[in-house]
Amino acid sequence: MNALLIHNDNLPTLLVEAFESSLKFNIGLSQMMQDGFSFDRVSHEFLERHLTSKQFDAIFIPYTLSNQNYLELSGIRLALHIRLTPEFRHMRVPIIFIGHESKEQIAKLTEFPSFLFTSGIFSIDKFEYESYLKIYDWLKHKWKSDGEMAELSLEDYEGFLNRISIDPPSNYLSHHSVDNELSLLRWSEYLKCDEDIPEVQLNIKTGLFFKYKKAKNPIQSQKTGSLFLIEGKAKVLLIDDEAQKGWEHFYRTLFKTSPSIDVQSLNIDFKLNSKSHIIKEAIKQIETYLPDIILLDLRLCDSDFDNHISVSELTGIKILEKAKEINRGIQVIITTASNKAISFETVFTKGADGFILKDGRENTQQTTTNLLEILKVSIKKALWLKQLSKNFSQIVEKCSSSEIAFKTSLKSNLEISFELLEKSFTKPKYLNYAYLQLFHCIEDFLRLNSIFEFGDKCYVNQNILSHKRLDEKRWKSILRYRKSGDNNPSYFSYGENEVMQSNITTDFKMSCVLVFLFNKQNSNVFNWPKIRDIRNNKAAHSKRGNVNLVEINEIVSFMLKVLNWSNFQKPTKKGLNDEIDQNSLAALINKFQ
Amino acid sequence: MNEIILIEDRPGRQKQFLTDKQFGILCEKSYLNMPQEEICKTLIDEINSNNTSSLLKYSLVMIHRSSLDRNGLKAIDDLCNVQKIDLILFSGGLSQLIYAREKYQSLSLNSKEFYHNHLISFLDKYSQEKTTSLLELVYQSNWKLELLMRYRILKTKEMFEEDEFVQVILEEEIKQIEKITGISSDSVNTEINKIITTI
Repeated sequence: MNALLIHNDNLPTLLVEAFESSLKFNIGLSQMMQDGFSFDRVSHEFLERHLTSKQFDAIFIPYTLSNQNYLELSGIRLALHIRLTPEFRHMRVPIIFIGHESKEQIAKLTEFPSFLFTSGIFSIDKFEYESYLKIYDWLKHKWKSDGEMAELSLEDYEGFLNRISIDPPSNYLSHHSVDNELSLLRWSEYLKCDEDIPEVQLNIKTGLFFKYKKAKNPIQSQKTGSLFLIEGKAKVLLIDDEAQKGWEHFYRTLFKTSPSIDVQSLNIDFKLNSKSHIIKEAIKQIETYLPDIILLDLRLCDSDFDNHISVSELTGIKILEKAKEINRGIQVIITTASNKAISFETVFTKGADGFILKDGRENTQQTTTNLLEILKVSIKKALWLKQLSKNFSQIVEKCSSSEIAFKTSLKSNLEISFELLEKSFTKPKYLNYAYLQLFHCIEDFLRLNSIFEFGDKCYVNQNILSHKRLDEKRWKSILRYRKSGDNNPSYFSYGENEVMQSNITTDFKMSCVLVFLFNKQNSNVFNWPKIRDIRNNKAAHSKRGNVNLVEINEIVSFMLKVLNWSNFQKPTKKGLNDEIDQNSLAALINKFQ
Repeated sequence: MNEIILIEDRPGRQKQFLTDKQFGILCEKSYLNMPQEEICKTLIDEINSNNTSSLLKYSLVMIHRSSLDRNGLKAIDDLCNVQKIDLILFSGGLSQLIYAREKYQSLSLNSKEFYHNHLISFLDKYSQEKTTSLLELVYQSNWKLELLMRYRILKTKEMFEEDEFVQVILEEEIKQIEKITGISSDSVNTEINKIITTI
C-alpha cells in the first residue's frame, strides 16, 4: 500500500507499525514557547520536508493530532495544507480521516465543516490495518473505477475550493491587511527587494489563509522591474502601521536611484498607542520634517478596524486634515489595501491628493508604474504648491488686524485660488482662473477705505488727496499717465495732471498706493504693469493662451509685498491741494441755511 | 481564591472584542489584576528582562504572546514550570488552538477566541477552583466532550497495545478520566453521541 499515515502516537502502535510510511507530527509546549511560533509554519515545514520527495497515493490522518486535547482537530488543518499547497505535490490525493466519530459529528466541532464533505475526503472508524488495506483497495479500483490510483479531477478540485471557506487570523483584522501583505510581497518581488522581508514572505508562503487565497485567485507569475530615476528634490514621509513590516524598506528601495528623494517614516508602535497619541506624533513629525509628500495609510490603530467607524473618523483622515492645515501644498497620497469600505469621495473631500490601492493581485508592473507616475506628479506639485501655501498664509498673516472683514474674504479668496491652482495640473486653463481670483484680492484691497477712499475727492491713506472730480467726465489728478512705448508698458508717474478723462481704475488706484504708500516715483515697480496687463490681456481671455507658473509666482510676490501693512511707508510726497474753493464753500453754506 | 493576571498591551483590541460592560465587570473582579498603560508596559519590560517575581502570587497568567520576546517567553515558561502556574497565551496571529499539560497547564489561542463572552464566567470558576481545565474557556460545558472523546481513543489504543509499559501509562490516564467524569467504556459512545446531538 503506497499510503502515508500521519500520527502523533495517538493511534494503536500496531497500526502505526503496519504502515510502510508513517510520520509523527507533534507540536508540544516546547515548540509553542518558541519565539515566532506558528502552527501553519511548523505544519508547512513538516509537510515540505516529507511530501516533496515521495509521491503517495493516499494519506491517512487522525482528526486530531493532539494527545491532550481531542477537540483540537489539528489533523483537519494539516489536511487542508496538503490540499492547498502545490509544492507538496499531493493536492489531489484522497485523504482519509481516522477517528471513532462520523464526518457529520466532526463537522459540528470543526471550523472547517464543509471540507469534510468535499470530494476525496473519507473517514475510517476502524483501527486494524486490514480495514485500511480495504479502503485503499476500494479507492484504487472502485472510487473512480479506472484501474489507476484515483485522485481528484480538476472539476472535483474546483468544487472543493468553492465549498470551503477559510477566514484570516484575527490579526488580519480585515481583508485589507491581507491585501496589504500580499501587495507588499508582490511589489517587493518586482523591485527584487523581497528577500529583505522574510517574515512577510514566510507568512504568505506558509499561512493556510494565504494558500487558500492563492488557490482561489491564482496570481500570475511576474517579471521583475528596474528602478526609475525620479527627478526633483523631495522629502517623503511614510505613515503606515506596516512600515516596519516592509513598506519603509520598499519605498527606500524604490527611491534608491533617486538620491535627492529623502524617505522617513513615523516610527512608533501603532498597535500599542492610542489614536490620539498616533495623531499627535504624526503632527509633530509633519511639523518638524515638513515633507513634500505623505504616503498615508488610513487605518492605523485597532479602533480603525471597527466595522461601524465612519471614514471621516479614521486616524489617517484626521492626520490628513491636520497635514493640510500645516501646509495645504503637502501632497497626501492615501495608500490603502481597501477599495470597498473606503468612500473615495470622502477621502478627496478631506484633501487627499492621490490614492494608491495596495492590491497584490493586480498587474504589478502596471501598478508600480502607476505608483511612480503618481509620485512624480506629486513631487512636481508639492515643490510649487507647498511654497505657494506658505506664501498665501503669509499674505493673510500680514493683513492688518483692524481689517477683519477684508482678512476673512482674503483668506477665502486665496483658498479658492489654491484649489484652482491645484486643478491647473490637470487643466492648465485653471491657471487663468486662479490669476483672476488673485487679482480679485488686489481689487478688494484697493476697495478698502483705509487704502483708497473713493468719492468726488479720493484719498490715499485717508489723508492724501490723489484726485478730485472737476465735472462729469474730468478729474484733477496727482498722477500723470505715461503711454506704453515699444518695450515699455504704460504706467502712472507722480505729477499733477488736470485733464484726466477716464474713470478711476484699479491701475490708477494701485499706482497711488505705490507712489504714496511705497514712496515710488511711478507705478512701474514690483512688476505691477505686467501683472495688470496679464490680467487684462491673458487671464481674462483664455483664447490668448494660459498664464504660466512664473506669472502666478509674480503676482503672489507682488501681493506679499503690497498687501503687507508692515511694508507701508510714511508718505513723503504731497497730494493735491485739499483747500475748499470759495464757490464750493458758498454752496455749502447755502445748503445749511 | 486563586489570583489571576491579564496582561494585555493593546487596550484598543480589548475594546474591540469586549463590550464596555464586560470590561467594567472584569475591572471589578477582586481576583483579577489587569495592569493598564504604563504599569502594563513596565511589567512586560520586567518579564522580557527575565524578572517574573511580580507574577509569583498568581495561579493563572494570561498574556498577549506578541508582547513577549524570546527572553520573555523563556522567563514565563520557567516561571510556570517551577511554580506550576497555569498559562494562557493569546495572540491575533495564532491560527490553531493548542493545549498542553506536559510541564504545566497551558493554552495557546487566538485573541478572538480568548476575548469570548465566556471569559468572565470561566475566570469566576477558575478563581474558585484551581483544578479547572483551561479548555473550559474555549469549550465551556462541552469541555467534558473532549475528555470523553479522548477516553474513547485511549481505550482503543490500549486495546491494541502490546507494549506493557505503554499500557500502564494508558491505563493511568484512562483511570484519571474515569475519575473525573464517572464514565465507563460501556456508556462512552452513548454519552458522546448525546452531547454531540445537542450541539
